[in-house]
Amino acid sequence: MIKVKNLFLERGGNKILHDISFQLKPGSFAGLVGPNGSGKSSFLKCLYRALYPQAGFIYFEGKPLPSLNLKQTARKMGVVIQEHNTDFDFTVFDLVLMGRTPHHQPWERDSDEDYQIVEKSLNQVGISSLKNRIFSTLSGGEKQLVLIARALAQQAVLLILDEPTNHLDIYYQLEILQLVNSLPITKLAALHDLNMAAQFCEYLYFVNHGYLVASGCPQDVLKPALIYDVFGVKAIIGYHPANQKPYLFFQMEKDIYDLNIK
Amino acid sequence: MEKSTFRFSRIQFRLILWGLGFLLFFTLIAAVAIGPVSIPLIAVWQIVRESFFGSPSENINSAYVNIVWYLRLPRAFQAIATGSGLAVTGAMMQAVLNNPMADPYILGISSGASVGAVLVILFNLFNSLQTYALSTAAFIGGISAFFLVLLLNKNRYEILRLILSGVAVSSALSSLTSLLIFQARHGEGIQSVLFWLMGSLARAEWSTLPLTILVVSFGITFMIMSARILNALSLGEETAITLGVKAISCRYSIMIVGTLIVGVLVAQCGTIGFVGLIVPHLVRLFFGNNHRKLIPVCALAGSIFLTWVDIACRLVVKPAELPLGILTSLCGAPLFIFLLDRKSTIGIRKK
Repeated sequence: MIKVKNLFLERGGNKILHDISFQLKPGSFAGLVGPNGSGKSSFLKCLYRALYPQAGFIYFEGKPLPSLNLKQTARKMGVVIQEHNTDFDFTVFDLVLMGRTPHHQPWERDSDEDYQIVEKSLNQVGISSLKNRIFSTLSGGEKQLVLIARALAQQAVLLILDEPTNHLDIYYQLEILQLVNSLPITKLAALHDLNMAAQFCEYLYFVNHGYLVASGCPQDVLKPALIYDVFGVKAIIGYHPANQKPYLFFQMEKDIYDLNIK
Repeated sequence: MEKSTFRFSRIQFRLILWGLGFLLFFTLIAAVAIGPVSIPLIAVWQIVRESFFGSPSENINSAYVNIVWYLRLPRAFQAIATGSGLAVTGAMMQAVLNNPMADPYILGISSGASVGAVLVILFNLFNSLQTYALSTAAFIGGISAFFLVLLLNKNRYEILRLILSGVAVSSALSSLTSLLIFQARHGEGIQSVLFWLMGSLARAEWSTLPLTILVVSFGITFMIMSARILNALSLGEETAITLGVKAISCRYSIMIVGTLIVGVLVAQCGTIGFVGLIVPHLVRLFFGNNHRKLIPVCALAGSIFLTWVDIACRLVVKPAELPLGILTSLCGAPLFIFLLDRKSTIGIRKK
């Protein structure tokens, strides 16, 4: 699906990414984890072509990314970016309809087929009732669902999400990750919450200071030693009682202090 | 749960366009008939018909012929072209620069044109071009100011930087204009400079109209055809890229077309403020931000608005006339604020 070899990225004299190589398995849900400023977003930007790496190769479905034009990638790659503030009002329907942009010449009209695809995408995400609402009046969680519906209207086979659960309440965090997980396409998401990542992702890629420091299935990646190295936080690993997936418990400084007194 | 009022059905929208088109036609007739001298509609019709197919017959009052055919009709067409051109470029600049504050002049075009115009009016430059000297100089000035702004952003692609360097170039050139006026010796020249700076359609004539109409209609067609791209760009650069739009090159090519329109209009009528800001926002209140609808409605609404303002300019202080720019802002601003306040009550956005 997507394969990255020895990627280097520099911005304004700062080295952002060092020698990153990885490969996404078709149909899987991979998570990108790491501290703030570790290069997760920059790495995703290289994949969705908002940034150009100085060295390295990215192959999308076997073809080098620079050999494809933006339209060709946009027909297969849907992206939910982190900042989607716009001062301009669009209805939910119109916004999802924009997912059809790469399938048309700029001057072509939207066909009935486009409208059907939009209705279907709205249905699939479960937000048909919102279609006449104005995007800026929606809650944070509803906005994310709309953007996912737009990616579906693009008929994407790869969905890239940059911290899709940021600032959302627990209902929407679960709603969105379950929805993403259920889609029969390849998914790659940058996630902050290590436990959420462990519950949903098949693979985790752990990034720190622009280096890929660990990768593999969650139980291999989320080791207390590594967590301490990267975040400077002590963690105890446990397991989710319902599904036996790894679950991290973090130690508060206060708890350690209390333990020492006892 | 509030619903948008943006989603007109295809038929409703077509009816609205036809309605506006009819209103524009009515406006055109009004613009020719109304003025310090009112002219009966039958005479207007006769003059237009006969002048169109040759010279008008003897039995029509020749003063009427002069007023209708040589003054008001070209002026009405100029108003239509200017209003629609400014409204459309305003909408487009707002989308492309991703900033609702943007207007057609934001990248320095009007201040550059002012320098050119002032040089011609006060110092008689480009004498060999005779009556075209002013518009040529203004056009060159406006376009060069725009390219100066582009040059300042040659290797950087940040929108904010682009806007701020436009503001900087604008203010530098405005003070150059002020300096030139300050240095000037004859009062009469200063009077006509001021009139030009405040915007007026009084210089409209048949000889320059074809070019203006050609450029404006090319520009509007181009913008309608780029509606998809404008939509994507108004969501921001990164989103546009993920929708397959080459954000940076599209932004520049659209800006260049916009500048061409504004350059031609500024050269003819000076700086007419506020139209490019207020009309797109008014239209957005009712039609939303989908540029496929926004652009055509802006073109019609802008031309209707500006033509009526021009009619008012001729009537308010007759037999003299007010510079157009004064009235556009004077009646535009309160109307705009009134509608902004009503925004919640017409059910478009409730927070």
